[in-house]
Amino acid sequence: MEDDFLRLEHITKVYDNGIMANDDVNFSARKGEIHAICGENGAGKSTLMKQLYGVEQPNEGRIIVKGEEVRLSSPLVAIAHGIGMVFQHFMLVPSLTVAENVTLGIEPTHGLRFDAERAVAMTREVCDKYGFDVDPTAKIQDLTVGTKQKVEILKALVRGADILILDEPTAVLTPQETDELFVQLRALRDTGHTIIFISHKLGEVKSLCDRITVIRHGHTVGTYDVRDVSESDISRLMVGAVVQEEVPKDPARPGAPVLEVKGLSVADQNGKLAVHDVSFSVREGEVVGIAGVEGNGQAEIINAITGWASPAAGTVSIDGHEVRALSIRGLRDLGLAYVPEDRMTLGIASNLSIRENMIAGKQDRPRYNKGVLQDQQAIREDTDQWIREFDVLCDGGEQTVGMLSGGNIQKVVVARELTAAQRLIVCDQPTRGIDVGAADSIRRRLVRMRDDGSAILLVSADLGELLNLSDRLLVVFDGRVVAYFPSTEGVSEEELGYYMLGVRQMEGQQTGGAYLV
Amino acid sequence: MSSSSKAHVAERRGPLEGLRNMSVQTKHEILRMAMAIAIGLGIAVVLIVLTAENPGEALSYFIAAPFMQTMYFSHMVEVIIPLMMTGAAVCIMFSANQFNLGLEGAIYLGGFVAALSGIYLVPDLPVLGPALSILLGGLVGFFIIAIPALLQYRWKANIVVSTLMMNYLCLYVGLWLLFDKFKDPASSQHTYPIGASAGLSILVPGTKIHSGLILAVVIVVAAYVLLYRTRFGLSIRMVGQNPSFAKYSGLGVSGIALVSQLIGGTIGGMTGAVQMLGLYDRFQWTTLTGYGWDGVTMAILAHNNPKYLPLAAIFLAYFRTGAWVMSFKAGVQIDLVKVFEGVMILFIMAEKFLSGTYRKMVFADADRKRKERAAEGSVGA
Repeated sequence: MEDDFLRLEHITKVYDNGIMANDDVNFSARKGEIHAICGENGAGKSTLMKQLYGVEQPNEGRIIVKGEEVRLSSPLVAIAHGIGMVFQHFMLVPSLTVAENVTLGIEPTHGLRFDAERAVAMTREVCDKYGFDVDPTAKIQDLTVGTKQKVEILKALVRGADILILDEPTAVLTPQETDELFVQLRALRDTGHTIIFISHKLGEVKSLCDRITVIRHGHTVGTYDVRDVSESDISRLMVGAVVQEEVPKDPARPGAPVLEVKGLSVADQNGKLAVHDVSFSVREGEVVGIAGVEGNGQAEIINAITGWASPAAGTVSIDGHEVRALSIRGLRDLGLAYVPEDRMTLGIASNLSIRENMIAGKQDRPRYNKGVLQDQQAIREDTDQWIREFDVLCDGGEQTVGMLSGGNIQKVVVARELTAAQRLIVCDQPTRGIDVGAADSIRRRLVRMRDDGSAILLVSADLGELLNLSDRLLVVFDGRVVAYFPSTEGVSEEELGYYMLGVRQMEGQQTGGAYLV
Repeated sequence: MSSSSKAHVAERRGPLEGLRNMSVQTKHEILRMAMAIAIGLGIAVVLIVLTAENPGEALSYFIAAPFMQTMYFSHMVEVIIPLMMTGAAVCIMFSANQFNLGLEGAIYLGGFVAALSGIYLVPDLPVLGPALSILLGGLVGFFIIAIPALLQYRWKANIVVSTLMMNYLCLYVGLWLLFDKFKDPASSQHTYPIGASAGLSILVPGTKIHSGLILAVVIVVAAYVLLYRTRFGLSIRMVGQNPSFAKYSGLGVSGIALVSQLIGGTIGGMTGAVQMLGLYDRFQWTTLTGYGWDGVTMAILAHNNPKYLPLAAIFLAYFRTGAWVMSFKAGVQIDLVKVFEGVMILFIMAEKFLSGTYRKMVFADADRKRKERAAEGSVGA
């Protein structure tokens, strides 16, 4: 029982915007265990781990590593204490090789020169020791997401980390890559490493971890042996009483096509073709889902539909109007609503109030204007109603949006868009970062809007959400549609995983069925 | 549980409660401003003590001059007028995040054209004459700012650089017009006199407070209403806060940026006209006036919100009057007030100034809320 290997005591952390992310949190881990930290988005898991990695400093509390109280003022200090962290967004230089990335900052030198051979040797040694199948001379930009993640882990191991923090490592992986990662993590545990595994995928936690600490609303709920708790126990601990359920829905009654995407090819920011010859349609009264590992062309498809990118080839039209010829204002006037994936850049102006953010884009409506002045009362009435309806946790509509937590900012964006237009709704990760209850009500609302005749295009990394909401489903891989399911009935997440990874691919005539008129 | 408690919080907040529960951000911002002012004043006092022959007397003028004589008070009000007007102009441009520094040129030529109008066009027409001259001044400001603003709109020419250049262009065009075309041969650097009825009328008899004050107040109120009570104002602020978001919301971002600058330029030209017609009997400016830079200072003090312009204007005018009186009564350089203003602005602009205190305040606030919640919870249970 080496509970002193790593201990965080009474940690309290308040962010600059006043959000108390950790409130008197306690956590401890033993040598040689895989310890899960579970909690909903926004529960404070990442904040806790950032403090352990020295990115953030606690306002109150103590951190004890290997029996010694430490002050982790920066990641460098954390690394010196044997703590390594793998973030969701990789911190790698794409143009450099694996070995160069792994040894970045601790480069072996030969005189003044970088000793490339020794860097490769160092990397290979660690690879062999822990059974990582990575080519040290490969360039990062040529690697798959799963392999990039391995490089991140290697980076920590080369620096001598024996405490490894993984922040939702499986979020970007296919089911198959996930299995491979788990084999490696178990091997690391068996060689005495402590692994802290942040996740809210309970199946993974059950199959991989030894113990679990549950965090809810910034508090520790408790630490348990994974053997002793079932998945439903954990989810109850995570969310309190509510458990995520499938949203019930009737079969779709689709009408005329609203969105028609035909032969679409789109270049990414670097001018490289990121979407190749994609065709599909979304009709009135149906939800069409797009599954795929992030970065396989979804963003570019959405950009071409919402007017942020022009197609390199092919056409996109909404109710017969070609998107290319219209301004964003013109698209919005056609009835386009868009919940963007990057809410901080596109979705809000963080220094403006909740009301102003909710009214943005609708400010020209007669309802919100009395002569030349805005109708403050109408604005107040509507935004107050939306704040209630979408359960935005705030001090009132005058509060600036930047002062809200990530999940509540997302609710503001969704509230504005779902009350803006009804003809075509493009949702990119609509429930990311939102608590279970609010996510459920947003999904129900989307189904209701579908039943009222809206056409909905849904891109989500949450496969459960995709399978639940979509009436028809596409899978994209490397910018192409590799699978099309006319119905999600009986489709499993595993099956989607094979297509998302590019292992399987349907014939052209099958995927061509996605374009219905 | 969480949803019910937050509903209570929302209901309990009346207007009075709102004042007492001023957000930590606001409290901290007030503290920051107060500290910046205190440091600026502190340095000014030290300089006065070091340089004045009779520091006690000099300080008394610096601190209290506007209340010593009607003339000093009147001077303070005169100073307030252009501060409010250019402050409003810069607030509108900065709200759209357009760092347009071209007001100097607009003010200079706006004042020139208003003077010409008062000399040649409407020398004998009371009320309507000055109004027309001010409108012409505004029109000149509009067109002067339109040049760099359009260069930016069309070719993305950097607005900071182009407006700074524009200021000198305006000055030298003005000097050429003054010396080569419109100078009264009997004087060294003046035009002919502005017509007797073409100037602004005196508002308070026995002082030099002129009717430009009314226009200044109207413009500040209008700027506030525009920015915070109209849909176009919301558009301006959306563009200023996050142009990607503004574009995503369907706004024409560069068009709104352009219009915000044209409004600012117009107000700038009018400021030049008001100053000229309110305080001078002939056009005689041979340098840029500095009112445009004052507008930047004002917008920074007011956080780009015209609501705070009157307060900021009184504040600046008060100490400028003090320094002015001090300079001829106690022989202390008037530029001392520039040191004071400069130091103050420096600290206000320094984002990390007092950020440690801010963190502590945020934590204390969160801690207080946590204890309140705990207390509420135990009462409930």
